[in-house]
Amino acid sequence: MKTILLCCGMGMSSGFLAVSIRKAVKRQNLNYKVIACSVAEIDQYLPVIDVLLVATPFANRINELKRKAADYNVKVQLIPKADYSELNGTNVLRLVQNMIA
Amino acid sequence: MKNKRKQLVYFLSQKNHEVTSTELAQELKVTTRTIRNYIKKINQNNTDIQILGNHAGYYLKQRKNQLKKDETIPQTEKDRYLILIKQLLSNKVINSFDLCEQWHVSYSTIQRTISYGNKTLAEWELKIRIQHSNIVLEGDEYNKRKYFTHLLYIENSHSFFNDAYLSKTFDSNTLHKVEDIIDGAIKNYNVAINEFSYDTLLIHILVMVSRYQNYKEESNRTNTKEDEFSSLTSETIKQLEEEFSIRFVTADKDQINILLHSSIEKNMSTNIHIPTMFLDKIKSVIMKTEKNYAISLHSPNFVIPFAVHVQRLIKRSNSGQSINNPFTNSYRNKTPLIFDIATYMASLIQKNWHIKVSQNEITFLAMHISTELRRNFDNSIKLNAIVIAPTYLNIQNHVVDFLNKNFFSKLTILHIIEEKDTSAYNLENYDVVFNTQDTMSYSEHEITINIADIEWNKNTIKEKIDSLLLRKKITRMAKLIDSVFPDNLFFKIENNMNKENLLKKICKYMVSKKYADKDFYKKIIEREKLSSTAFNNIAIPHPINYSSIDTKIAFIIIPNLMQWDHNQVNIVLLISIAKNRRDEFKRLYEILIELLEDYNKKKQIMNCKNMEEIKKVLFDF
Repeated sequence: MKTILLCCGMGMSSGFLAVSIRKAVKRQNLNYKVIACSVAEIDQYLPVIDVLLVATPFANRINELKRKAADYNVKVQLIPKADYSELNGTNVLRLVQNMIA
Repeated sequence: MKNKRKQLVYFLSQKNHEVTSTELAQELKVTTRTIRNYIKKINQNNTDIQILGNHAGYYLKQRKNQLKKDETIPQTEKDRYLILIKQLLSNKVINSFDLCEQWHVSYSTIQRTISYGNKTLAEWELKIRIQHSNIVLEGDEYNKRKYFTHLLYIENSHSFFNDAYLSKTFDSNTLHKVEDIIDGAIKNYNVAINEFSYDTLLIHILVMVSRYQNYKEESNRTNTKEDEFSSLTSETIKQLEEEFSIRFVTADKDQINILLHSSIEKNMSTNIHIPTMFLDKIKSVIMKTEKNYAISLHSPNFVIPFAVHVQRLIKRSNSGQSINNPFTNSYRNKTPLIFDIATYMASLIQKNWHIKVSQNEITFLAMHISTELRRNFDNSIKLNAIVIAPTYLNIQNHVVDFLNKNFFSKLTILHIIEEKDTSAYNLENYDVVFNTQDTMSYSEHEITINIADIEWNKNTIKEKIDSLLLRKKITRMAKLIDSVFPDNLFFKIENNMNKENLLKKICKYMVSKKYADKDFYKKIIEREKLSSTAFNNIAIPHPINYSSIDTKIAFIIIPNLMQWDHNQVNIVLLISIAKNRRDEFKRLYEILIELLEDYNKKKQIMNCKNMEEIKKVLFDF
């Protein structure tokens, strides 16, 4: 099983995207767990996740997060702005699959 | 006549060794031949008890249901050993000659099995010996428990324990009693325990209780300091003692106390007084650990019970008390990282308070940490399930395997029974009943499993499980839902208003009701400027951080749609979150957005006239 963590300021907007990704996961019958949290909470999730997706407003922190995540072998990506505002779970899932392929 | 027979059974039941027929004859004042006749009649007429005999005399055997099922004959040295050692560890009296008969082996085979086993047991400083004709396990009581726990864990290394497995090892009556006591405590004190800790607690108490008969006498002399335990601990201990007519020694009471408090998720120790200086020191230990391992341990759910634990640890260490922890090996092997963190914390504690922290104590620290990390990560709720299926053609196993394989993360199978046993269980107590027969329905929460095309129906079963799971989650949150959606925060906007005016108006109202601070509107706008909070037709404006006075959601419906940045929305949830209820809120929020995805619900929401109706549509209240 792979665990994907989405993060944004409060874990609220990313919560919406998480629902949409979960739907895409369900359609493709994949064994992924998708969760959302706030940027402040990332540290506690790092030991248990495989992929970290960061919301657009936090683009400026991506390098810092990448450095932290490297210790846990977690891959980090910024969520494309269009996919984020349109809640395009299918696109984001494809992105994730490419990351861990 | 009948009374004499009853007297005979009673007499035997009071003895835990064989009684010769002469002794029995004397006791009942009849001849030995009459005794033989009595025994024959008793064995013919009773299904639940049986009197057996060997060269040393007669003894009583309670016939158990599962005995027959387990009576497969072990074929290898290892299998024989495992069966034997588990029986010995559960305090069963084993006669070597009976065993020969039962397994159809010679006495020398039994001796070989014993010497095979003793090689493993030497590591635990335990030894099997034949004393007279009985097989006994010699060694320190704590080593026995440690080894018992170890055995249970290696046999279940990849899954949670289930009732079916445990009732094979422990007597199912004991198992259910212990489960009832733990469940009762959880319910009465309104605390939450996750699956993993529940198992730890259950296994530990089972091992303890089933081993206890061994040193009843010695335990009477202990004086207890009950007042130091929380009422949860005292109550649980009292119930266990009463139920099993045992008296725990102080060290064991301590253990139960630690186990209970290290596994509880909801903080209930807030009323316990901890000196500020001490707490500050604990906090500095926690901060250093967080820095070193990049984990989060500062939630009050962790800090307070942990501080209480360390307080007792220091006391134990200063008074030279040692405490046993049967999980030391399993923990170190299963979760080396957590053990490493615990060792680090222990080293800080040693330095701060100039005490020595033993491996056993480190394991207890690890248990606290592990509960906290799991709590952070996985707050999932599972359905408690019972499976009703026939044993023939291996149908039971087939169904259970299927459920575990596909729905492990959603179900805990508590019991597996046959149709004829249904009356012994209160099926309303389970969240879901899986039934392979469609002739009879037992519960509202029943899922029928057609064994012939089980794989075909997987999706239907999954949907039913998901909907029951959602229901359970919602039921658990009923109180929270009521407080988060107060009646006065329902708004229907039918005039032409823009986003800013709407937010300004409702923020002002929420501030006036003291749900949020004066700068609520400012914080909302700050977040809006970062990026739009509209997703499809729903907007979720919220402040930039968790700092409101209270956690409330204003539910706003706009039948004519409102422009929200680049989207048009007809539902707006204006959210205010207080910091201390963040975790709780997060769980509710996840369900909320999932429910709002439902097209039918959304349509119905547009017709709602008040908060009551909204809650009814969303949560089926």
